[in-house]
Formats: sequence, structure tokens, C-alpha cells
Amino acid sequence: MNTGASVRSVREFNWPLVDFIAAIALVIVASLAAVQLSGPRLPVGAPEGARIWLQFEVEVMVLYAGWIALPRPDRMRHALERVLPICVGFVGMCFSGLVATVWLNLDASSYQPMQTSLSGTLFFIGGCAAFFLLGKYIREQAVTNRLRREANSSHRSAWFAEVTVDNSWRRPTAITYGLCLAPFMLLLQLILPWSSLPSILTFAMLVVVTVAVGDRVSISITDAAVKVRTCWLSGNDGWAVSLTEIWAVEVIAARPRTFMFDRNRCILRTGPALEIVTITGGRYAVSLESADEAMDILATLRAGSALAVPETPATPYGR
Amino acid sequence: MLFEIDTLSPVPIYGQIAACVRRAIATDKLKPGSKLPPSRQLASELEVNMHTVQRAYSQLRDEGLLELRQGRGAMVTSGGVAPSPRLHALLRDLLAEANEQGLTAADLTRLMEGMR
Repeated sequence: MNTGASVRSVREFNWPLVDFIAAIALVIVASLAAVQLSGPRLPVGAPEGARIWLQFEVEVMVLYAGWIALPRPDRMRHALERVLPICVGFVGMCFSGLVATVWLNLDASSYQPMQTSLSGTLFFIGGCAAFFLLGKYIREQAVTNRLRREANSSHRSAWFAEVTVDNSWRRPTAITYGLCLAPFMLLLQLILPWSSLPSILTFAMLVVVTVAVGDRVSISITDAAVKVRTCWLSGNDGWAVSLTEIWAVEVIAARPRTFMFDRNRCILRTGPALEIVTITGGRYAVSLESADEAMDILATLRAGSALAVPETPATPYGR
Repeated sequence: MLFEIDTLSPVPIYGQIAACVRRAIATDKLKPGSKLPPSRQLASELEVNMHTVQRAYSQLRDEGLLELRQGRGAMVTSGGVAPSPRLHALLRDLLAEANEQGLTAADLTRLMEGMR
């Protein structure tokens, strides 16, 4: 009989952190190597084009290192579960741009920017998706490590639900994505008149497909934590809160809004949502048709797991 | 839906997982067409091996309760709950015992309703 890893061994390394650093370092080294090795075989202008992507990589890295360095109490958690996954995605995006530029121009007679070719743009988008998924995967490992059960009980519970978007999400999201990408597309058109059309059309099509397909959120409540996972199409990477961190749980009425960049709120439809207030004052919300049931499950799990009940609230599970 | 297991129970974990699904279907908490969580996710949340969950899902598929499709996960079929031969035999014995005591099937149903 498999009982799983119920006893947590003392970890000597923070493996998710090691993975993140290794991924970013590998990308930087591979980029440097690509620029150095391909230089002599590139036409005039292409090495500069490739170096711009390398420069972006370093800038992204410095920017995100600065974000991590900002003083906050839960820095490691913030770094592992929020900053580094996005950093890997953006560094990977720059790497994809660099590789696409080198690939398109290797032994070519004249320089062709990546964004002027459909295959280059598609390669770039594929590379971006791969690196964002890599960041998401390592983040999952970090979340799992943080929220693993302690070996104090043989009973394990897990409640699951899934939520998809409705039209009340599509309109504000289309407006948000459109307004965010419009200046970028305009700039591209100004820099490379008409030749950047493949890129502009591809990005526009991506926005349309993203809005049409929408996002899907899976919610799991266990006797260790509440976890919300998304497909990232909504631009939200989900959240995870340990039961010990919960101060109060409420069912609220929520609706998607334009420019809703709060990563702690996964509101995919108009209707009931589960809102969790943590003992540090953080507010986390997720759209959930069966929010009442989820609240009851949470109350039962918290009551049954002999968790330390926070002192402050009079009605910790008030509606 | 809620999955509950006890790692110290003599019932194997895959059996407990399968029982949770059967119960949810029988009490209408899982309706035909409802999707079950992916085996990887369920295994991760319950901290059990993924093959344990897959074994439970396979058993439910063999019973005709679930439909497993590559890439689409596990879905509740519209067939409803079919009692196993063992449960069928137990029910027959129970009905015979009740008849001996002068109870009808309706009386048994009422008794069982009162127990829930």
C-alpha cells in the first residue's frame, strides 16, 4: 500500500530556487554562446539585432532581482512563487527572440528582423510558451514543498472544483489585452512600417484566441492548503494559501473588471466567489459556483485538523 | 467533490478513492458528464502514488462508472451506479432476512433513509 511521502525529510537545498537559478544561468550562457559563435556567419545588422535580445535578458534579470530585493516579510515565498516564474518566462522570451533572429539570418545575405517573418514570430511565441510553462512547473514544485502536510495524521482529504470563464470575463479581458498591446503594435508599425505585419497579425490573433478560449481554474482544498491553479491565459498564475494562514473565509459576489491585475484574485465570471483573508491581511479570491460548499469544507477541515485558531476574529467563517 | 482516505485503513487506498467516487455518484454529487480531477493532481494533493489513483480510476471504468479518454481525463458516464455482484448478493440476503421478520422492501427503504 502506498502511503506517500508523509514524513518530510530536512532539505539541504532549496531545489526550486536552485532550478530557477540554473534555468536563468543556462539561458544567459546559451545566449552569450549563440551571439559569439554565430557572429561571423550573420549579415550586417543581425549581430546587433541578436545583442539587443541579450541586453533585454540582462535587463529583465536585473529588474526582477531588484523586485526580489524589495523589503518584505515573505521574500523567499514571493520570489519563488511570483517573481522567478515570470522572470524565467521573460528571460526565455528574450532568448527565443535571440535564437529566432540567429536562426533566420544564419548565412543570409541581408538582415531580416525576427518580427518580419511568420516562422520567426511563431518560433518566438512557441519559445515564450515553453519558458513560461517551465517557470510555472518549477513554481508548482515550490508551492508543493511549502504546503506539504506534516506527518501528524493518517487522514487525508482533498476537495476539487473547476471554473471556466463566461462572457462577463471576455469583454473586460479583450479591452485590457487590446489596450495593453495596442501601443506595442503601434510602435512596431512605426519602427518597421508594414514589414512587421506578420508579427502584429499573429499577436492580434493570439489575443482573439485567448479571449475566445478563456481560462480554466482548478481549485483544490486539502487539509493542508487551498490551491488555485490557472492555465495562465487570464494572465493570472493562481495562488496557494496554507490553512494555518487563514484568518477568515467569506462568500462574496464578484465580477471580472478591466485592468484587474491583482494576482490574488482569479475572478473568471460574475457570481459567487470564495474570498480568503489571511492572518497577514492578504485577500485571495476565486470565482466558485459552489463557494458555500467550499466554505463548509474549509471549516470542517480546519476544525478537524487541530490547527491553531487565530485569536482576533469573532466569526472566522462569517459570510 | 471530496476525496477522503485513511492511510492506516486496511482498505487499499485505490479502493478508498474508488469508494469516494461511487458515493459521490450515488448521492448525485457527481452527475453524468462531470469531470474528475486529473490523476496526477489528485495524487499530488492526497500525497499518494499516481498509479494508485490510476488504478482506482481504471477500476471505476471497468465498473462502467467512468470514461477515461487520453488527454481529456476521467468523466462520469451516464450509465449510473451498477451494484457489484457482491452488493447484489448482500441485498438479496437482506431482503430475505427482512421478509422472515415480516418487513417489506418499503420498510427496509424507510429504515435505511432513517440511518442517513
